[in-house]
Amino acid sequence: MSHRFGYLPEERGLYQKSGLRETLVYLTQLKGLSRADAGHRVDACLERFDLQAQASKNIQTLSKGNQQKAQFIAAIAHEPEVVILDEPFAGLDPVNQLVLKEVIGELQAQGTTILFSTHQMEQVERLCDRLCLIHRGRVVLEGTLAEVRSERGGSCVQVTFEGGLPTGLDRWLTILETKDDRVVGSLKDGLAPTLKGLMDLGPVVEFKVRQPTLEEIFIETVKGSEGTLHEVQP
Amino acid sequence: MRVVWLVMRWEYLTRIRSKFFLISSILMPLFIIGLTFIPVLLLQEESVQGLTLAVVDETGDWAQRIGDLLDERYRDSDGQPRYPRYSLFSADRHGQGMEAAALLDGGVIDAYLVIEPAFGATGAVSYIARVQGHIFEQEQIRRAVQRVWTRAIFERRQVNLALLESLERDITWTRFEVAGGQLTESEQLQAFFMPLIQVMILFFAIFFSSQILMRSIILERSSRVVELLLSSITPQDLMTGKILGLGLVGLTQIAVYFTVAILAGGQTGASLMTAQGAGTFLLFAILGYFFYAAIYATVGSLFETEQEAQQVVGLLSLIPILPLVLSSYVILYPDMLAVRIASFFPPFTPFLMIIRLAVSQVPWWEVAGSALVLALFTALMMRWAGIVFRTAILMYGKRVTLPEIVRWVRAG
Repeated sequence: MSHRFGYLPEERGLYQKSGLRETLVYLTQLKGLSRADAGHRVDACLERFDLQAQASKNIQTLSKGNQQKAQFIAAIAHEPEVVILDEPFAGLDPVNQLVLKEVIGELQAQGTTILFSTHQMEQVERLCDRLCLIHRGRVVLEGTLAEVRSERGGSCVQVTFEGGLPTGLDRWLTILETKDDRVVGSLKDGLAPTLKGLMDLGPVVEFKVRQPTLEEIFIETVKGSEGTLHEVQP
Repeated sequence: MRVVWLVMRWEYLTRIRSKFFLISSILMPLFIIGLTFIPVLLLQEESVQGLTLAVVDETGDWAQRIGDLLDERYRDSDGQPRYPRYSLFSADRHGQGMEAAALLDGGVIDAYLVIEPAFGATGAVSYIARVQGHIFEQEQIRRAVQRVWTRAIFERRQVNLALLESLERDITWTRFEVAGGQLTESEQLQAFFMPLIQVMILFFAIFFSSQILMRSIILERSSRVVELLLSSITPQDLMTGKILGLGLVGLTQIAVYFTVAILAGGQTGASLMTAQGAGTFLLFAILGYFFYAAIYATVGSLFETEQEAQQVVGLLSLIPILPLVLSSYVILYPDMLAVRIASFFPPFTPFLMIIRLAVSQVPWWEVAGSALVLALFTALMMRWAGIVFRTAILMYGKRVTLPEIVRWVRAG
């Protein structure tokens, strides 16, 4: 069963005093591959990640970025059906992030199911087909990116006031972001009553309905679910 | 089973190729040999240094006789007297005493004897020295004074002195060891130290491997490698593979130590153990290792850093140190009831049985019985260790308490 899964933990570590290739071959063998097969797969991965020159070096001598790549190889070298990646981009420089994205794309193209756990919403937008938001152990949002957007998309507005933001905005909006005289928030009521209510608070120079980013959906959903959780708590 | 083999192979090869293993394999035998033999060699009667003496004696007669005997019996390799004497010129006893004390204070002499006036009748002599060590030197001087005194008694009673000389001759004492109806001549030193060497080799091999096992588990936990491993194999397989791999490291270590000991012993004609002895040694060494490995694996799975584990390990180490400390006593009295009973107490069994088997003919039922008890407890410890290991190994940020461990074990 374990050979069908690959796992990249969030907190990483490999045998620091062992050689890179021998460690990866050992970990791949534990997934059920023969020594020869594990060796071939690891060599191919080392080449893909440009780590052949480091193959015989001790892991502790590798840079942090290279150690992260090695850990990624440990998760995928046995070509699993499902790969669980927990914050795979954490600590990687932009160049290595790009390499990793390419490889994740290749795995997707091969039909590998990737369970991608992250707090970086823009990565989810770019890489994931389906998403699931878990907050305090409960699923609070689930679906494809399009489904989530269409479900939550219309309720987000961007409002600009003349002469700074007035008080009392949270009567009408779940505030997601404020900057100078501009506020982004999701509606708590209908579009027309909200616009009227906001104009009563101060002079509105811009009122724009727009599609929220996933990060905004995340914040709104979490804030919303916290209210629900508080209500059920004794 | 395949993954157990893979983990075992990895653990074995990783350790055996490490510099630490190579260094400890060379240094540890030297350390053991040093620890065992250097104090003994230093305490050999042949290595006595000799002392400069003065004798406080009213008559001067005793001093002369004692001096002559010391010169006759004890001389250094270059022919010089081992106990040169400093003559005291004062006529009165009190003055002589003062003079001797002053010489001792000034470092001219190492010690002085005070022959009491009634020495001929009572045999009373005082030995006064700055350092109360010099055990062998004191003994040689005491023996010389004793002979002078005995001779004087014989002379007074007009007994034939030739008879005394016959009485003073040493008898010939040869030691034989009987095993399987065969008599073999044995040396006292060898009979005493070979079991000590065996038990020390066992102690270091067991604790070397068990400590590495514990450290490796703690390291895998703190570096989170264990998360990666447990995504591939079960905790039980991981623990079994590690225990077997490091057990093999321990056996390799034993083989290295014995090779060194045999090579060292070969030069002096000493043989460390018989083939049968090697069999029972291995039996108790393997069972002992598994017993302690189960404990150390459990401790390793409970802590995230070595520092946290160190206190528990310190307490645990006291248990096997006890039979090690008592080993000289066990060598002298291997068949005493208390020793025989203690041999059935699993933490002591490997150490006590290895000593007893080396110096005594232990009944077969005691060997089999103690091995069986140890095997049963080892199986139990391994089972408990497995339960604690699989529960605690992925538990981070929380100190596990003893009642929790008991609850896990009960729940099975």
